[in-house]
Amino acid sequence: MRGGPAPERYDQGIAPFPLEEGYGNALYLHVPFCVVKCGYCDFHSVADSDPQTMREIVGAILEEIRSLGFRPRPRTIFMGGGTPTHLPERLLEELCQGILDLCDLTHLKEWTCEANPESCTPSKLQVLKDAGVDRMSLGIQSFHPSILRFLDRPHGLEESRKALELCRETGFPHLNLDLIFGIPGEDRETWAEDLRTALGFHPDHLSCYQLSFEKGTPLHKALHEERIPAPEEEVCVSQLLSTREYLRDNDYIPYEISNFAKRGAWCLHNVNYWRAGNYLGIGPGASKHRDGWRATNHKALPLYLSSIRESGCPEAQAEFLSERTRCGEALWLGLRMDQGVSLKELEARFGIPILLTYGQLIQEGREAGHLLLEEDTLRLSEEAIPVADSWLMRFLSPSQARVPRGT
Amino acid sequence: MTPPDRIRNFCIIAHIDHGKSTLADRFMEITGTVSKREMTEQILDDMELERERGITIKARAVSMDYQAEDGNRYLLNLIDTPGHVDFSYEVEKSLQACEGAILLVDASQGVEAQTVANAHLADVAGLEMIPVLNKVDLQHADPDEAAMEIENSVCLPAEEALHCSAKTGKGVVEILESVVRRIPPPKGDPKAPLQALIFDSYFDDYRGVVIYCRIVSGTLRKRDRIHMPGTGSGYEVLELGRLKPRMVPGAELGAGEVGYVICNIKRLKDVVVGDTILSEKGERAQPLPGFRHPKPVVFCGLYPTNPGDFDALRKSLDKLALNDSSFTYEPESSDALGFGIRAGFLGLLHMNIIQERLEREENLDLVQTAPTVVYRIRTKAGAEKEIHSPSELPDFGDIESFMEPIVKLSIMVPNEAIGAVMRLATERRGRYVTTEVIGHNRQMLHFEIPLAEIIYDFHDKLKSVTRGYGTMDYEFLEYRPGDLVPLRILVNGNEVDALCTIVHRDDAERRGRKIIEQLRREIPRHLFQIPLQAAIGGKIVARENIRALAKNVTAKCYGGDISRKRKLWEKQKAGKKRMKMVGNVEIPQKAFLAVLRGGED
Ligand SMILES: Nc1nc2c(ncn2[C@@H]2O[C@H](COP(=O)(O)OP(=O)(O)OP(=O)(O)O)[C@@H](O)[C@H]2O)c(=O)[nH]1
Ligand code: SF4
Ligand SMILES: [Mg+2]
Repeated sequence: MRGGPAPERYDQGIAPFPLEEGYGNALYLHVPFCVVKCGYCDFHSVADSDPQTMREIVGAILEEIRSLGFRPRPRTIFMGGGTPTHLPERLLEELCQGILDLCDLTHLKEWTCEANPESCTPSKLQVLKDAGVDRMSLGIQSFHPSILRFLDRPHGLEESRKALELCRETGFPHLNLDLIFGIPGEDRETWAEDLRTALGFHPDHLSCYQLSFEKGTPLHKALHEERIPAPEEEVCVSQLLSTREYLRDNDYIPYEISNFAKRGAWCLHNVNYWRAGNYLGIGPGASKHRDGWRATNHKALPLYLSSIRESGCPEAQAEFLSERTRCGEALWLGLRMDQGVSLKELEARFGIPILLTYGQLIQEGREAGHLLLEEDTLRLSEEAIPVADSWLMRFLSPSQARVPRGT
Repeated sequence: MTPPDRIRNFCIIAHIDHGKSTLADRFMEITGTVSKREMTEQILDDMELERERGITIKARAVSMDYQAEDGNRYLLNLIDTPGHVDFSYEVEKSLQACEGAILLVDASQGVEAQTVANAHLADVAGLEMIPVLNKVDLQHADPDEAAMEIENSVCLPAEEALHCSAKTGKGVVEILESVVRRIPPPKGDPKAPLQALIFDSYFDDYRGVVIYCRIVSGTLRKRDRIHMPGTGSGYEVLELGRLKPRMVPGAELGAGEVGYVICNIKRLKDVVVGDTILSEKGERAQPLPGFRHPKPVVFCGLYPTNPGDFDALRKSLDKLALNDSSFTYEPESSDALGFGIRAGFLGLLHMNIIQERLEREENLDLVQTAPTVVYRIRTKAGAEKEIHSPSELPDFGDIESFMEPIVKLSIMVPNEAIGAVMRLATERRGRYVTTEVIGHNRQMLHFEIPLAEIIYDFHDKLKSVTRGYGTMDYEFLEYRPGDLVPLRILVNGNEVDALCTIVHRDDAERRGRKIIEQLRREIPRHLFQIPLQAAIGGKIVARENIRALAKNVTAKCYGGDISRKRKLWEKQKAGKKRMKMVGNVEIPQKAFLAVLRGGED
């Protein structure tokens, strides 16, 4: 069994904020606009929006922050979507300025903005740079025109290259590329080529996702109606594993199932999600979590707008998680990271004895060679990565992880 | 009290879907029993399952006041009966509470298998029969041809047949007039000692057992003390009345009347359908002969998915048995499934209905094992034994011979489908006996065929080879020797006793392959490879593997995905409640069902 090299613990010194503290530590802003809708997309975003709607939404996002009742002091900011760079330059500027005005940025360690190649103009990038954005995340997805067409992406190869160069020239210190594998009919070499091309731009971070066919998307429909072939499982597994190997060889650490980074370049904002920390999502459809209270904002733009205007309460639904559920989630999310979870830390956070509660499951996982328990650390083995969910989902369900008798 | 000569007791009998319940709607409308506002289609089909499937499952009684053209008011007691062959016991019981029957035939379809079967039952019961041709509003209705078919098949003169449309109401009054004129009034004497036949009952959580009965002689009044000889129980009548179709309380029920009786009976075992109600005091009459007990022909195991529900299952069955006296049940246990019930039914639809009623009305989650007919075996030691479940079989090597039930099967077909039906029946080991000409283009084919060959999917197959026109009916004939073998199913090396079936030797390999194929489709992939095997004795006749799960990982998992993903997994987990662990393999309920459903394809 290959356990892989012992992972480095990157929470120390790098993500120094206490997880349970300050709700506004991790600030997420959702910009729900795109130029067109990609064939696989089930994110909350709409195409063809008029400038007026965009203006209203940006206004409402800032209003949501204003009406929080406290001044967020984020350590990380993540502007996602949608495509934040699809906003007209003036609005993008307004959004950034609003953040600068409304938040206390003295502790800020990371400010990411997502972007798509077709909307990366020099002046928009400059606006972001001037505001303080230090990490750009580009939706590249593929360097093969046929695959970009298959995915209904609104940009071509040239635009991708230009956007990447532009990010460098503008001087952002951190750069991530989003890439997709597991395209039906795609062979191992095509994907390997994409990875090589990506490394040519020297990003310090890569997100490599297997294409998933989410209900309600055109690609899901096409697959369902058998207009496109299903990706071959065997190819996908081999792509997944070879990606990890290739990137590891090139000094990118597979620090999460789909995320790879040079030393010190992990996305702090996302690490906070996987550590089941608190986060504050702002904007239509955004989620927030604070010590077991989790809520999601109205998704539909008119509803979101009116809720902000009328009550200042944009949450459409909320739930309270028991310590038990939170602990299960923390295990599930934490095990997605190569560093795994610290049992002591979880026990301290949730007051739940991990080995007693999940003993049978952990034992089963160890026997299968899929879970590794080294002193205080529990993590997935390399073999477990392709079938991670089969184990992770069981941490959520107490009946699957019975409490042994005597407790 | 209505004098007996102003009472008419009758039922509507027909092939499935020929319009019985719809005709009953019209009767209730014309007689003002149900107001226009309260009316819904097939109002008597009020069980959830009946409404969903659009069929009648239980016979239902309703009393109506009718002002006839002769100037008199009549009390008409109508029983609407089901048409499906599995429920012919309901028809048989209903017939005993009546003096006459309306034989309804869809004029666009003509005489069908159950038309003939039910008419035959009415004839044996000595009932006056009124042939009625329904659905004459349909363009392709051919009442003359249908009338001729009635004459040919059940010997009722074609010119006597009435024409109606239960949909538009045309000709319906004429039927009621004919009921009054032609059906004899009940014979009983209201002053004689009490005899009331219990033909149905059900359990009401608040009022206890509700009894439906027909007063054969004497009069039953509120506050009377009654005695039921079948169980030896005695009660006081707290309420009685007529069914319109809702319960309408009254003071008494006289000879010839049909109604309900409530005595706050909480002990389910105190009432059995077919028993007689006698008066406890005074002169006591003889109990009535009651009903023939139907013999279940299809057996299966019912297991609660949650083992803790076993007691609840038993209690629910007791309750349901009150409402359906035609199924049997006793405890059994299985290695794979734990404690459960072996239950016997009158057919496959009957089995499905009971299972669904248990799940819905009693809120139970059940796993059902493959249905089987009752075999007889002779062991090498010379003993004979009835086999209701493959698990009752001795070691393969100890079996000397098998006997299986054979039925008389009659199939009504259009001429052009005769070849296809012949082929189908022969494939299923049927032996052709004879043909009867029924109409210009239709014939009734008679076969002798093993019951096991027709309980699974024969009916569906028949429908498909006759483009929907073929109909069938069957009755038990006798036991005959057969070349049968037990087919065992192994999942990851563990035998799943609940999936074991008894099959014809020539068929074993094909059936084994089929079952394994279905399991392969329904059992989710596990983290390890799962071998599936079918075996006769120690010999493997079919095998396949379920590949190990190679990929199951969510690519994206960020702030907004967490809640969604957890809820999805929780839903999947709820689905897992319907799984059974066999060794270290989770077998979903669906897999058992698929095997049970699919002999063929
Ligand atoms: N056109 C037309 N349709 C009719 C008529 N009578 C009944 N139907 C339709 O035939 C179908 C079956 O009617 P039901 O009254 O449920 O038949 P049934 O004989 O009670 O059926 P089972 O109880 O299941 O045996 C329904 O869709 C009715 O609407 C009629 O006179 N004309
Ligand atoms: S760019 Fe991203 S958010 Fe926009 S439609 Fe495409 S996949 Fe969806
Ligand atoms: Mg009906």
